[in-house]
Amino acid sequence: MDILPGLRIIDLALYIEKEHILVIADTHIGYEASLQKQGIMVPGQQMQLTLARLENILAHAGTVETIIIDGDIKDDFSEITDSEWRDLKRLFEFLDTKVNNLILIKGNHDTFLPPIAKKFDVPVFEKYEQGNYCFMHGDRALPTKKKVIIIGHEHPALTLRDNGRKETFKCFLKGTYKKQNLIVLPSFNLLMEGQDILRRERLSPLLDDISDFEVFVAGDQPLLFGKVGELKRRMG
Amino acid sequence: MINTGITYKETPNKPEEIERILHPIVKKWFFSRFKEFSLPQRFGVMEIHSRKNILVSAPTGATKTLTAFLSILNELIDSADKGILQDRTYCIYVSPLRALSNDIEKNLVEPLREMEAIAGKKLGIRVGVRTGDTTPAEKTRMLKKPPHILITTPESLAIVLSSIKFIDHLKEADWLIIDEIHALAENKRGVHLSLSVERLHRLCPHLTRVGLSATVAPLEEIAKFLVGHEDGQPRDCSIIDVQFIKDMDLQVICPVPDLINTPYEEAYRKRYEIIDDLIQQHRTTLIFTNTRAATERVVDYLRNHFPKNYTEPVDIEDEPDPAPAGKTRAIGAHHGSLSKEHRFRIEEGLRQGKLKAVVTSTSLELGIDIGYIDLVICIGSPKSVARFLQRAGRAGHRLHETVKARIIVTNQDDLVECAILQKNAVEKKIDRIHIPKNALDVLAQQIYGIAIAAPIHRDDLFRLVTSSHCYADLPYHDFLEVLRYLSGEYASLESRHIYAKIWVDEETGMIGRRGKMARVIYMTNIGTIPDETRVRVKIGDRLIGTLDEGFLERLHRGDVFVLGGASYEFRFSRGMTIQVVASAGRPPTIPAWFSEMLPLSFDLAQDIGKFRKLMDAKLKAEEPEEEIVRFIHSYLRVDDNGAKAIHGYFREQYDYAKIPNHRRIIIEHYRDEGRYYCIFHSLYGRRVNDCLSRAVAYAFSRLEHRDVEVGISDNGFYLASPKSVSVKGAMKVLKAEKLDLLMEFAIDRSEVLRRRFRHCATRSLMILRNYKGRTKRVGRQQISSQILINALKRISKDFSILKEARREVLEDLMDIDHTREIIQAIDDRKIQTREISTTIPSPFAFHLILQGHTDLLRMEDRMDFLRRMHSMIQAKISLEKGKQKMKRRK
Repeated sequence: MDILPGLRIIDLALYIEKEHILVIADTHIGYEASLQKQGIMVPGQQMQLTLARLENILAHAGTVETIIIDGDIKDDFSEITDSEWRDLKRLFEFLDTKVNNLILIKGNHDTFLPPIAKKFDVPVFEKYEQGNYCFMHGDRALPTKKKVIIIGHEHPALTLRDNGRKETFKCFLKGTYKKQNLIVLPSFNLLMEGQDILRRERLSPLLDDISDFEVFVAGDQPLLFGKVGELKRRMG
Repeated sequence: MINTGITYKETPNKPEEIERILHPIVKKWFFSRFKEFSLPQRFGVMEIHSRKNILVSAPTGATKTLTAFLSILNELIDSADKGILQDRTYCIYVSPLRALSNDIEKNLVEPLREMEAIAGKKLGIRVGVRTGDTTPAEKTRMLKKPPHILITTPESLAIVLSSIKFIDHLKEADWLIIDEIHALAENKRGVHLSLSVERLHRLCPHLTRVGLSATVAPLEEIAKFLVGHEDGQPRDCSIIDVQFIKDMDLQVICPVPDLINTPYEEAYRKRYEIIDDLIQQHRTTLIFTNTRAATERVVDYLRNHFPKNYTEPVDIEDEPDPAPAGKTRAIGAHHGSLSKEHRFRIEEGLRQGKLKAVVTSTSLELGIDIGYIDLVICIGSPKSVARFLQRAGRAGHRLHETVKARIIVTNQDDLVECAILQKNAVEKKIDRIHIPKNALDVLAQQIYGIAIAAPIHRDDLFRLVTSSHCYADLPYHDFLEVLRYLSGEYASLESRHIYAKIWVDEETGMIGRRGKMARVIYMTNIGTIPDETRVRVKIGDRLIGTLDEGFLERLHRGDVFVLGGASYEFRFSRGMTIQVVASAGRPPTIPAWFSEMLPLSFDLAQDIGKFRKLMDAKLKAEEPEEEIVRFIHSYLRVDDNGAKAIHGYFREQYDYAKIPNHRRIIIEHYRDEGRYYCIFHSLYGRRVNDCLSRAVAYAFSRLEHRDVEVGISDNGFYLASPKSVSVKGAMKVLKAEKLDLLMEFAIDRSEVLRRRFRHCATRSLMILRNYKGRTKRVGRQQISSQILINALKRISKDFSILKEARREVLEDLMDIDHTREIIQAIDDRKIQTREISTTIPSPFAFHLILQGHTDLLRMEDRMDFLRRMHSMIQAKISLEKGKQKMKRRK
């Protein structure tokens, strides 16, 4: 399904046909380690799942020359652990075999990213512009004149409740920022459920009132659920 | 010694025999306080004296505690008098209650003081209490000077067993007393304790075990739970059954002769008039309701409608001179959601006779001494005979007083249920409790504790574990699976050090603890009682109260629910707070008590079924009405109103439809405004119906490829759908031998499995509540249960924690074993099924539908759910857009 003409949702990624770009956000590598620090001993599977999922997405996309990770590549602010180092290496090596360009956007969690990126020779940007598109993480509003802004940071998800059953689905959001189109990507971290857009405060300064934003749920096929405001009225 | 196993002690000892063994000081003390030995004492004292394991089952107030302690005090006094009392612990007393100080003061400290007075010298016998509230300074003191009698809780006992220094004092302990063992045996706290006891037994092989129990069945099982097994046989234990030594005055009261046609308000008013009358005729009344909310409602109603008779229990402890006995008018509530201080004040008030009546849910069922009560009232069915007798036993809390209890029934089903319950109580037929078996989460926690105390060989460990009755038939591969989890085998080799809690040396077979933090992690995360997450309920900034988190998941915008006696409308939630507005007058759309409902016991349900069968035969034989009413009178011992109401109820069901019984399940089809209902009159209790309904619904939805809604109650369940529901096919594929597999699928994505999984993961210490100085509130945990479940499933479908969560849901919460029996009986045609159609629900179906509305589930998978919600929302939106267009055109 196209979220905007030429912008196709594939699972948790967005494929920009004209530019041969595939973009994902908020991988939060090393999240398991932060969970462990909180006393939740989840076994490490994240990287394996992430790679399998990416492989599948690439198989469904057309030509991909560039992969962009739109911020919060890694999770922990304070340090680089051995396991994070290992996981990032695996990810970069994997992507290296798939595409020509890998571009990282710096997120608020990525304090320690530059030295790693340097080591693997991957470019890191605060924002990256190509064609009509501007990619930034979304924790700060950076100036751009591009028609379409693509951010992460929010981990948007939609929680559906029915008769005692509750399921949370990751989703994309589409709306406007000033007069530009704004797309919010879901988190690519498979251990994170995401934050219910109907019940949680916005984080990004680019998002103010989102009641006119459209919700695209990333199921096995993307589904347009309508506008946030309408959903809130019906289900909040 | 010849192994005699579990036996009953049939004849009491002669008083002279007991007198002969008593030290002169103890003897003098005893007869200064009591005229003679009580029956439990004549049965028990000699057994404990000769170091035999015993289980004493007697009603509350039947001098059980002193029975247990008399021999022990006797020996301690004897040693002290001779100057050979050692600095070690002789006796360990475990109780599920934390607030024990009062009882211990009365039962131990005071007698010891009096005995010292008789002896005319200090005897130096120390009693020490160690619970979660014990300060580090007290613990240090105990380490230096160990108490001769250690009073503790199951959790603190497990901690003590992993404290290397303290263990030394326990090594020669002679006695272990487990109080209120009936309340422990039926849950995971008891399972946990059973392993601690085996750990203790390894330290002190000469340990004599004493179990004290209220009314419970089967006693043989409780005895095995107490003593455990050795070499594949239960250890010796003699059972002392003095459950029925008190006289009982029990009665079921039906407030009006016609429960069906009397207007609700009138029945309600009448019910309270009766309650008020009863309270006024007695000195102190204890009233049991089945839920916390009902507790408050009763207090409220009595105060508002009989203001002359009742006052608030404000400042009862400040009253300069308490009102003379029986003259006080104070009434108060006591339940688990109220603050500790409030509850303590109520208990104190009761003990001092400053309260006219107290209304409670389950919190006053257990132990603690609450002083003089001359009447117990139960509003609505206590759901099991044992529970009723435990509640009733709170009245006449002294050996020779009569137990006086009344049950006030609330509707027709309640009436029939309570009448049979009372009949069974009088006939001494106690329903059996369920003891959880092979709980892998508790096992993981205890193995960790054992490894922390000292390295142990795998075979020794397995022997220790299987000597607990709760693990006597633990499959060896389940045991290994738990070891694999604890040794972190599920994680990759390079990160195993993070997950591993123990090491297992494959060559030597030895097991030990891993990590410097092990002891701290264990000590701060021990226990089996799940954290209850409460969400705050607010109007603006004003706090109204709290609700269970699970309840929040059921709420939709606009739903009305009752909290603390008032109704509120749900607006929205943010984090752990929900916002509401007052909603006076609107009936609640969701009952708040769902999760607290006590299930009807299976045995009692069977007996109701038998009564239904008798009634069916009488109606079929067209016996005259007076004859049948007379039969009900004599069979059930109910009052006039009750007998007439029961007759009327059965007559209506018989005339209109068919009477189901335990050997005949009626399946009733009816249609209501385009919804098709298929009602199963399967009166087997909600633990069975929970399981049976999901099995039928799952089979149905697989066969028909569509969803069905399910509602359950004690008396049956229903399936509902917008299209007609035929269950013939589903009933055909339902096979007893395939039930386990079917249910595994049926509960796979259920909310109940997610919740229980989280508890199991916490008990298994995969989720740590306290870690590195941080305490986690459940609601703040960032990862969803489902994601954790998925992660473990990828490792193995039968990962020990997953397996345990499923076991807990199917065996402890539900009752898959009896469900299997029923399905087998249907297959063997020992239970018949008969389908009927009705135009309005039959009388027996009425409450089932009313109550069953609270639990609805769908069988679709996650993606089907998403698609359905999508089309539902799309439909609503386009409908609304259409309406707007119409408006604009106008």
